[in-house]
Order: sequence, then structure tokens, then C-alpha cells
Amino acid sequence: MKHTPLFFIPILLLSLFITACDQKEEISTGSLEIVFKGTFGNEPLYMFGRSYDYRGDAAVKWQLFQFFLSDLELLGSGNAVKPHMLSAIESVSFGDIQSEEEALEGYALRFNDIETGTYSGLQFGLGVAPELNATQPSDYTPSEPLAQVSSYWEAASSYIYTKIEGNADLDNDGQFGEDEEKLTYHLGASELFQKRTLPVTIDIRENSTTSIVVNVDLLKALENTAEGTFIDFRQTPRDHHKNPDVYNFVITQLRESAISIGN
Amino acid sequence: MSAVLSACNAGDPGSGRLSDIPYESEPYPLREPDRFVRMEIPADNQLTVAGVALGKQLFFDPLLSADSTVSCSSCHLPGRAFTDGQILSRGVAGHRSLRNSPSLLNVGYQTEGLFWDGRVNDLEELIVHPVQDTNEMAGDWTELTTKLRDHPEYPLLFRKAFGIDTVAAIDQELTVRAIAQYLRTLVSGNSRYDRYKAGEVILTASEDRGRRIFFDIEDGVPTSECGHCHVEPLFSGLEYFNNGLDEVYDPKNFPDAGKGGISGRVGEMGSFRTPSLRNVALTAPYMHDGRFATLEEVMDHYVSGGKYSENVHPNVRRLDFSERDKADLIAFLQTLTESEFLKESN
Ligand code: HEC
Ligand code: HEC
Repeated sequence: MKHTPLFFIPILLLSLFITACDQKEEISTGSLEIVFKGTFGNEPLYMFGRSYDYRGDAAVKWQLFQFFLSDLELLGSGNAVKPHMLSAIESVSFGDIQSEEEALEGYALRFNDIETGTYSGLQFGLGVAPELNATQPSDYTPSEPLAQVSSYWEAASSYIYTKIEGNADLDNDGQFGEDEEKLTYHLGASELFQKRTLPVTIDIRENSTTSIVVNVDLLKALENTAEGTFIDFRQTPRDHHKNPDVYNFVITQLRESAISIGN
Repeated sequence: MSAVLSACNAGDPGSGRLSDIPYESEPYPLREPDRFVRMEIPADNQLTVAGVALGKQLFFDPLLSADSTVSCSSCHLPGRAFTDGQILSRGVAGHRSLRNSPSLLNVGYQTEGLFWDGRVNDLEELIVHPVQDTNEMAGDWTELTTKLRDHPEYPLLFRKAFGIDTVAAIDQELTVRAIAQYLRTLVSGNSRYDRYKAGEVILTASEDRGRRIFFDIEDGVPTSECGHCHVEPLFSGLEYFNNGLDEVYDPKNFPDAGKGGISGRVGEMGSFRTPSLRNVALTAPYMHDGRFATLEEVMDHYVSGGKYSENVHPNVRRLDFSERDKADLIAFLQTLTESEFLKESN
């Protein structure tokens, strides 16, 4: 009984939508595919299965690398092309990428019904935008990115912006994830949310799919070679957003340095 | 109303015609806890009162097994949160199942695969298996369908639930659908802990300290990492992990490959779906193979940091715990029991 009125909402919305469409003149649209390709330095990044050298004195086998992007938007150019909002929220996860072939294929997001034209850049916020971060998994249906309970941190009323997990070999004995070699970084909170723009020319053509590659270098999320700063696995093998030295560094590096336009 | 209905029940199942019996399509009022992500129910199997009642009857009926000795409820007992207290379950003719019987409470919320290894995606697909599994009910769907069609009561219940016109329409698909409907009503979200969250009760000092240990609220209590995998509100993030049960140096050598056995992926060898900890005080013995008899044994496993293999999840690590910390954490786990619900569904 309680649910009966809800049935009308989709019908109402649908009819609004239909009438709205009726009035619009035909605009030509195309699609965009953004392929996220993970690397660790110059190596293709995949989970388990292989180890990566870290700063010459450690090796790591990764198990998870994921992050949220909010307000993913194509920037317009001049008066001719208006900006286009692609998505309010997406989760980019390399967790299921577990072989070199899968790493080279990347993690793809697809967007349809984009007005044709030449766009001048891609903008995103790293993490979950504050207004969405005030929601919780039960506000969503299971397939939506923010329904993932494992990415929500109930005690802090916040989503986890990024998860980086793996087992290291710090004593060079060929075994990964012994005591004190276990790495987990679960980071993010509303005050760290910021946007970043990647300038790139994106041509959306009628009835076709344009593909762009976005590189994500996990190594750059952990070290800043210009400044000589880095996450020291021996000092801080884990942080659940408690240590500002870790979360400020990783979130900033991930946003400003790890993510770039590829080819 | 019910008088009218039973008066109409004059349909004659014997003749195979059921159309005189009323079809009852009244929706089942599923009550979902606010904090749960809404259950996804297939459009072609919406819950009805009559469908759920039929499913419940089937679930408790040994008719479903080859020799009418084993029902679903033999291995999924309501009083044990729909587990069976056995290390491995006992099926027809004393056969043992290959894994420990999991709780079916909140099974309708398992959106990331069913069974310990996630090899099946939805309930309708899963329910086909236990009936014909030689270690479980060792039955045969064709024979079962005949038994149901010839039964004095079931044709009527199928008619009420699905509006079928003839006895011949009773088949595997409708049987499975009815049981799936019943399983989706097994919702547990009103434990003592939930009532604490709602501000209705307060936890004892020990339970509350256990709560802070569980969720890593670092105010003078040690971290446990439990809450990162056993995530609220189901106390499972529905993810698959290796939590360090076996010492294995070559991933090919896990005694049970779990998810890796299905996917073939090296990184998933020895990984199992994180079980919900709701009602965990009732679901001993523990883990996919029932290896731990008590929560104390489970605690000792986690405190030790687990055994070595390369893909053990990094959140399973040696914990700096006193006896009091263990006892408090167990006291907290006991607040996740929903005893009223269990009485109700018997
Ligand atoms: C002989 C004991 C036995 C019987 C009888 C049995 N089950 Fe099970 N059930 C199990 C075991 C053991 C598992 C776990 C198997 C695995 O994960 O490989 C299981 C798993 C399940 C699951 C998956 C739960 C989850 O969270 O993944 C469902 C659902 C289920 N059974 C329903 C039923 C139904 C319905 C019936 C009757 C038609 C039934 N079972 C009969 C032992 C049994
Ligand atoms: C890395 C994720 C992870 C962490 C951290 C973790 N668990 Fe688990 N837990 C699992 C998985 C996966 C299983 C099932 C493993 C299996 O059966 O092979 C499990 C099983 C269990 C079980 C058995 C439940 C049952 O029905 O059989 C209990 C009890 C349990 N965990 C309690 C805890 C406690 C208490 C903590 C903290 C000290 C904890 N877990 C930390 C992933 C985790």
C-alpha cells in the first residue's frame, strides 16, 4: 500500500520526458569512451600475479587500486560548444584487472548522447563531491557506484575516495605480505575534494564513438620525484584516513600528478 | 473474505483443471531495514503472499529430495539462522556436502554472487542445484515435478501463487520461483545492535568496547580491521578475499580454490565471499569448511594474523589483542543476533 504512489513517479517523469523531447529540435549526438589505463611507472598495472619495484628497495604485489571521480565533464570551446556533463559520479577500479592483456585493454567508461562538436578538455573532481558524500549506500540501487557498501565508511559518514591495497616484500626474501609488509590506504573525506582539468581536444562526431585514453600511474600517487617525497612503506604501511601526512599527500598526488591524458 | 475463498476452492486438481480456484496476487509486504540498499527483485518474480507461502512450504518439505528424507531446512534450520551446526552438511543417504552450510538470512541482498565461491548469480538459478546435487537432495526435477502435480495440496497452492490453469503447468521454473520468493523474505535487520543504532537500547560496556574495536574507532582500543571487510549494514561488503586460513606457497595448492576455482585467476585462489556476521553467534561452526568450532577459535585465527600465502588480504594481520579485547569483540558480535525473527519464522 505504502508504495502505490511511487508507481506514478516513473510514469509522470516519463511523460514529462516524452513531451520535453517532442519540443526539442533534432540535435546530432555521438558517444565518448574514456579508457583508463593503469601503470606503475612505465609498467602496465595489474593486480596480483606480478611484483613491481618500489624505489629500488622494496617490491609490491598490488591487490586493489580504485577511486571515485565526480562531476566528470567535457569542457566546451568558446561560444560554439557548450560544456557537457558526462556523469555525476563514477568509480574507476583496477581490482578486476589481473593480467597484462587486461591492463593494456584498460578500464572503460562509455557515455552516449553527447552533442557533436570539438570539446577542449576533461574536468573531474577526485573523490566524491561533498553533496554526494552526504548520501549513503542505501540511497542507491545496487548497480550504482555509490551503492558499494565497501566504499562507504559509516563511522565517518563518508565514502572512501581511494583504496590502495597490496602486499610488499620489504626484506627481500621473496615473500609478500608477511608481518608489517601489508599495505592498505583507504583515504578521502569531503574537505579534500578538489577538481582538476586535463586539456585535450575531443571531437564528438555524429553517430560514432570517440575514444580517449586516460593514464593513471599508481607510482605517482605514492611518490613525488620532483620534491623527493614519497610514502615510506616501512613507516606508514597503512592509513584509514587518520594520518594527514599520508592522506593529504596521496590524494593530492593522485589528483594532480597520477592522472594524465594518454595516447 | 477467507470464507469466500475457501468456498471457491472447489476446483478439481484431479481433473487437471485449476481455473475455478481463485488466483491470489496480493503483493507480499516486504519490510526492509532503512539502512539496507534496496533488494533487487526480478520483475517476473515479484513477491506475493501466496507465492511466499508456497515457497515456505516447499522449503520445509522433504518431498523435494530423492527419498523424501531431506528438506532444504535440514541444512538451513531457522533456529540456527538457517545453517545446520555441522562442519559439512549431511544430505541424502548420509552424503556430506563439500562446504559448510551458509546462513540464508539476507540472502536476497547478495548481489555479488551466491555460494561461498560466487559461482551462481541469482537465487532462481541457484535453487535448481541443491535439489539435484547428489551430496544434498539427490533428486531429479522431472520426478519432483510429477510428485508435485500428483500431490493433494500443491496444485492448489501453485494455482493461488501463479494463476496457472492446469496442473500440467507446474514445473521446475515455478517451483524455483516460489522458493526464491520465500528466501527473499528472510530479512534480518533488527538485532540488538540495530536497536542500539536506533537509540532504543544501550550496549553494555563490554559490547560497546567491542564495537569500537570492530570498527577501528581508535580511542584507546586496539584496531581489529574487521569492519573493513565485514561492512555495515550487512556486516559483509559482499567481496571475496583470502583471509589467511591455509599456509600455501604455490597458489595451485589451496585445498579449496574458492573463487579462483571458478575464475581461474591466480589472485583469487583461496578466496571466498565475506560472510555476513549478522546472527554469527548462531552459525557455528565457522568458515567455508566449518573448521572453527567457536568464535574464540575465529578470534585466535585473526589475532595471529592468519597463515601465509601471497594473496592474503593485507587487512588480515597480526593484532595486538589482550584476552579482554577478544572477549569484548565477541560480546559485540553477539549483539548482531536477531532472536525474535528466528522464533517468528519457525
Ligand atoms: C545437504 C545440505 C543442504 C541442503 C539439503 C540444502 N542446502 Fe543450501 N547450501 C548447503 C551448502 C553446503 C551450501 C554452500 C555450498 C557452496 O557454497 O558451495 C548451501 C548454499 C545455499 C545457498 C547460497 C547462500 C549464499 O549466501 O550464497 C542458498 C540460497 C541455498 N543453499 C538454498 C537452499 C535451498 C532453497 C535448498 C532446498 C531446495 C537447499 N539450500 C538445500 C547445504 C544444503
Ligand atoms: C580481508 C577481509 C576480512 C577481514 C579484515 C576480516 N574478515 Fe572475517 N571473514 C572474511 C572472509 C573472506 C571470510 C570467509 C573465509 C572462508 O571461509 O574461507 C570471513 C569469515 C569470518 C567468520 C566466519 C563466519 C561464518 O559464518 O562462517 C567470522 C566469525 C569472521 N570472519 C569474523 C571476523 C572478525 C571478528 C574480524 C576482525 C578481527 C574479521 N572477521 C576480519 C574476511 C575478513
